[in-house]
Amino acid sequence: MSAPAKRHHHFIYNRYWHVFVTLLVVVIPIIFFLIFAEITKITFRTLFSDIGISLVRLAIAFVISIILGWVCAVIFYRGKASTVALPIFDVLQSVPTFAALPFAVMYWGPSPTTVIFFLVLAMIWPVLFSVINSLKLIKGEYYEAITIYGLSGWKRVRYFLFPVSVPGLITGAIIGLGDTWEALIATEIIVGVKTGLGPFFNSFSNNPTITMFAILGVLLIIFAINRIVFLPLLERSHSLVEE
Amino acid sequence: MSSIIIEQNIGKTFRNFRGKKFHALEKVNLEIEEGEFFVLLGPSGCGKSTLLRIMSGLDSSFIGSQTYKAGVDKKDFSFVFQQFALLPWLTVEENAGLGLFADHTLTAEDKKTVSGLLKTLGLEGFSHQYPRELSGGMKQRVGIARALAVKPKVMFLDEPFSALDSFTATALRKELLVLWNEYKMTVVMVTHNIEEAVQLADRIAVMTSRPGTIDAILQNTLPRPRDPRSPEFFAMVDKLTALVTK
Repeated sequence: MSAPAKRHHHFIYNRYWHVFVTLLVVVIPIIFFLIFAEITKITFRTLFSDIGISLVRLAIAFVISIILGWVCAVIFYRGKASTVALPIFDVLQSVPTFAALPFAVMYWGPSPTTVIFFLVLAMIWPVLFSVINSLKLIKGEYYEAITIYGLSGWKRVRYFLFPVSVPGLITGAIIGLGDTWEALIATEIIVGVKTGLGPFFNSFSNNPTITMFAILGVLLIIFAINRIVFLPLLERSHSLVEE
Repeated sequence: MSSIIIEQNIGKTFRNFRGKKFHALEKVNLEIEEGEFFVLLGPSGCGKSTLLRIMSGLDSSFIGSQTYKAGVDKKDFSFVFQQFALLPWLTVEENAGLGLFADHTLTAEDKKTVSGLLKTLGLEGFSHQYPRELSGGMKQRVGIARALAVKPKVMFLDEPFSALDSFTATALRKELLVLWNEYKMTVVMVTHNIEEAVQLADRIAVMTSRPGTIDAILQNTLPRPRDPRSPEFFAMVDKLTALVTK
């Protein structure tokens, strides 16, 4: 028998070059915002607190969405529950969420909670359906293997359902986050919170230069998050289920 | 010897998605003797894999009656799959120990069992590798180790060597016989390979399709170890070929 083959590292930072590029991805947006603040005479602090607050809201909504989306997917992906639940989910995801905005404002007021609630409504569906897709693609033989070897309950979730759903979870998170950037700014403006990117864009809506810079800034942040967080996760998650 | 699994009048109907009925199995009667090496032989689509899944308890939607010997339970069964069915996110060691840690937390003794099996099957030094890093033959060795780790009373194998190259398949067939002798379990195997059936089995059930049913059950009395070039071996192969292609 030959010696064990060298372990493949499905890790994206396996060269100095990658580390360097990643650092650039972090540094460039910061430099960009410094220049931005300098040119537009908006204080760096205002700029960063607005971005920071919006990012925190986004992060909270993101965590809620992936947990809730994943749990719903695992409960309802097959069996009798799915025939009832999936059409309901599909209807719910098609409901124009902004139409319900006045009710949420009535309930929570023009608060960050309202914003987060709407972000979750935008983000949860891609996560849910993408995880369901992952779960539906499971080969019959895997089910048979875990059934015959008696994997059940929590162990079934931990060693079977969770690993198979990770690629769907990451893909859903990427799509969901994409939809949610748009929803974030719109919701913040409509709800009328005082801080965040929405009010920022709103207050400079008659200044094309600042608006253009800010859009570019948001794009840079999205690019950086994707490059640093999601791309490596996507790579790794697919190697996880590779046979 | 006594029967460990008894199948009486087993039938199974599938519906395709136009709703049309299709009889996969009809009136199957079969008794598996304890400790024997039993082979279900037949062409593709004759329902032999379906029958194996019913016998092993994986498929419970059938008609007819199925009895296990007193004291024998689904927990005493293990299964080796055609496409290995190793979980890609678990290491070789974790895959081989799947049936053990599914049941309880791994003890030191369990770990010894698993590493001993991996050694027996020539997988020493691979225990921390992932299935994707192994060749097909090695994956099936892990599949066999996983099946043996639970110390099964009955081991079911669904065309375990058909996805492998012929050299690997030949080597693994020999190893399977050694393990069968060592573990003294009952083996029920599905195959469409006539030579494989003659090489391994004590008894061979020939299945025909549409509807899937058992045509004949042959006793294979060739002395072991069997010589695949002996006239008796060829005679047995010819007899089975005639039955299968009838």
